[in-house]
Amino acid sequence: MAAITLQAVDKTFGKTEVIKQVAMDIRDGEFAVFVGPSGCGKSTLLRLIAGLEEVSGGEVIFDDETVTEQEPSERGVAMVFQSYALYPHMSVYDNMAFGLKLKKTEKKAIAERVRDAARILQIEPLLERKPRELSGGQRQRVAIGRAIVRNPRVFLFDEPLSNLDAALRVQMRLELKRLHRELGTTMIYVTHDQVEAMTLADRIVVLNAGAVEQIGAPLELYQRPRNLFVAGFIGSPKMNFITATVTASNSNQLSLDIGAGRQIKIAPTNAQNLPADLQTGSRITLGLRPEHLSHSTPENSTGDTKSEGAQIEGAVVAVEHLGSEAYIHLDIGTGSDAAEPLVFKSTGDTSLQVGQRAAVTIPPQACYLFDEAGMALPQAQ
Amino acid sequence: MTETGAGSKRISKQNSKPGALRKAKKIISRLAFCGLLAIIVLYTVFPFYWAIVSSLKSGSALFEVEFWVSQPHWDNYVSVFREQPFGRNILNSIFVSVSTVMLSLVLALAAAYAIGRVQFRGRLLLMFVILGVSMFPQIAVLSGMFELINALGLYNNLLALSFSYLIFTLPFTVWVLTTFMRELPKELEEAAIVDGANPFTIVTKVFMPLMGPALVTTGLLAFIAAWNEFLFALTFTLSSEMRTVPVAIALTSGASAHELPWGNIMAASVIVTVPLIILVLFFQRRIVSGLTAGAVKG
Repeated sequence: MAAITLQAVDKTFGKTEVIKQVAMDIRDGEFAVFVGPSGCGKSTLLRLIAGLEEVSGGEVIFDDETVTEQEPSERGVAMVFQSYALYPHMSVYDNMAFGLKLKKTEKKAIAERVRDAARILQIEPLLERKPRELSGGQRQRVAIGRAIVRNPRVFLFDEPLSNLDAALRVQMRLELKRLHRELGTTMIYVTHDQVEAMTLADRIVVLNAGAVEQIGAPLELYQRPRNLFVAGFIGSPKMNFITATVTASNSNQLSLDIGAGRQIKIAPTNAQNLPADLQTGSRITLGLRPEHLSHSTPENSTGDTKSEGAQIEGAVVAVEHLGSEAYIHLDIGTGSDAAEPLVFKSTGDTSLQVGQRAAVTIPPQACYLFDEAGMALPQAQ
Repeated sequence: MTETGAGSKRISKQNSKPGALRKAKKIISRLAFCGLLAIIVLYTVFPFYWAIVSSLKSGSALFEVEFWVSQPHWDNYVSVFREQPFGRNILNSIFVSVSTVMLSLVLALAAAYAIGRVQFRGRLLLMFVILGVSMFPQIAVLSGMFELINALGLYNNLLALSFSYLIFTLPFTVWVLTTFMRELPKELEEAAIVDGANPFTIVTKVFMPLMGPALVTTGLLAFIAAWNEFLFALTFTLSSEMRTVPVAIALTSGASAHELPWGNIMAASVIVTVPLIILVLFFQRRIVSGLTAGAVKG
């Protein structure tokens, strides 16, 4: 078990800077998830922690020990690969025992540890089989077992579930969570799937273009994203962004021009202390989560803001039925053609059809505001 | 499904004439194919068959054209061993071929790991230099090689053959094994590194078992090349006890200088071909791919 500290870690491949000055602390026993779009450097960062790649600058520290120069086996890490990377010519038992054999561990101790790991993962009946005789889920368990027997200080997972089908993925997700509870070892998990990140993590590290965008607990990222990138990445379907110009503001109410001369007034209660420099004419981005918006019929919208919040009206361009719910895509006519439709969540039995007009109510507590640079405006706690 | 089935039936009934024509065409092309096969088989097998037939004839019967031996004589097979140290020659060939195969596989495996797995400058250049070595005709390197062998004190020594044969076995073993090594998933190596394996362990414990088919195939080719080699074997050996079989057969002499003992030569040829056939048949079953199945997602 170990706490892991990265100090200003850089990684360049040739002239390409893949990791830029990444610094973070992962606490002892924590389940940390690196998440980000493909190519953001999350796997590279994991391999730097593993020691499979050398850092170009900065330090990797386990507890108080600087391990930057050490080999993976010296660091005491265990890694589970996306492709499992089991040794095809060895039985499950030998796969799991390989690392211990190389360390010249006593035969009896090896057998004991392999049996223990097999019991935890419920793969005891498979020990004599070859990897090719196993299903995807079983191979994944063996790969995890191979990591467990080495009793590592840190577990590293590189998108371990992306080769499994959806049902198995959910099951393995729960199992990993249970495993983490039982072992209490620090785990670092890389994924591009924000659902996996949200469900597994104690803390999520959102990466983009080789830099850390935000580190925080799953709900913290959801409720208080630090910038546009995190706001757009966490949450599914993604947050709607509407660019707007401030036409009037006081300490708790904003009037926004959302394009084509349309005005809305919002009173964001989660942004009580609007900064003083939010002057008339400044450009901001309004972020709205689909699940916070609610459908209201255009007839009773009289343009007043009252306490329910503002309304936006538009034409329905797509309806996605998911059974228990439906997502409605609304063209709110902000003027520019490139504007993405506003997506909002509706009930599964919604009668809205493509081509109809609909209006959504914006609840005052659900407004996320970002300044021109994409940073979130201060929010109330 | 049923609809299309009925439809096609109707069509075939309507056009029964073209159907028959197509059938005839099919039969003709099949016959042509079988004929071609027969020619190829005859062309490749006949020389060996002729050697067997000839080896079973004796005396003047050798010079009569006969495709079938009614009364096989085994005298030639006996006299091959009696008139010259042919048993010793066979052992020599086995020693030289086996040692050549072992040496080239070990060296090629190490080279393949370096070229296929380790990133360094000039890998491609190195690959082409290795390939370039195999382009020199043997006769071109013969005299230089002879000096080298002499300097090493290996003249008339079987080791001279083992070493010199590496010239033509190494290029293709290195190439084949490198290609094969590149195909192995990178994560397998990384998993081994995380498990604490050094490069030697990775090659011997992880890669080598997976490369079984490639090792068998290249080893077999190297064995055949070494077994049949003539020029180096002729040049670097002197006494008849040090000769390998191709040289021994070529230098078989009869009772007088003007007589070539064709019976003995044919018998010897048959004897030295049989081990190769057995080897190929035996390893044929081992040359199966799919050993890597299950390494990664499948």
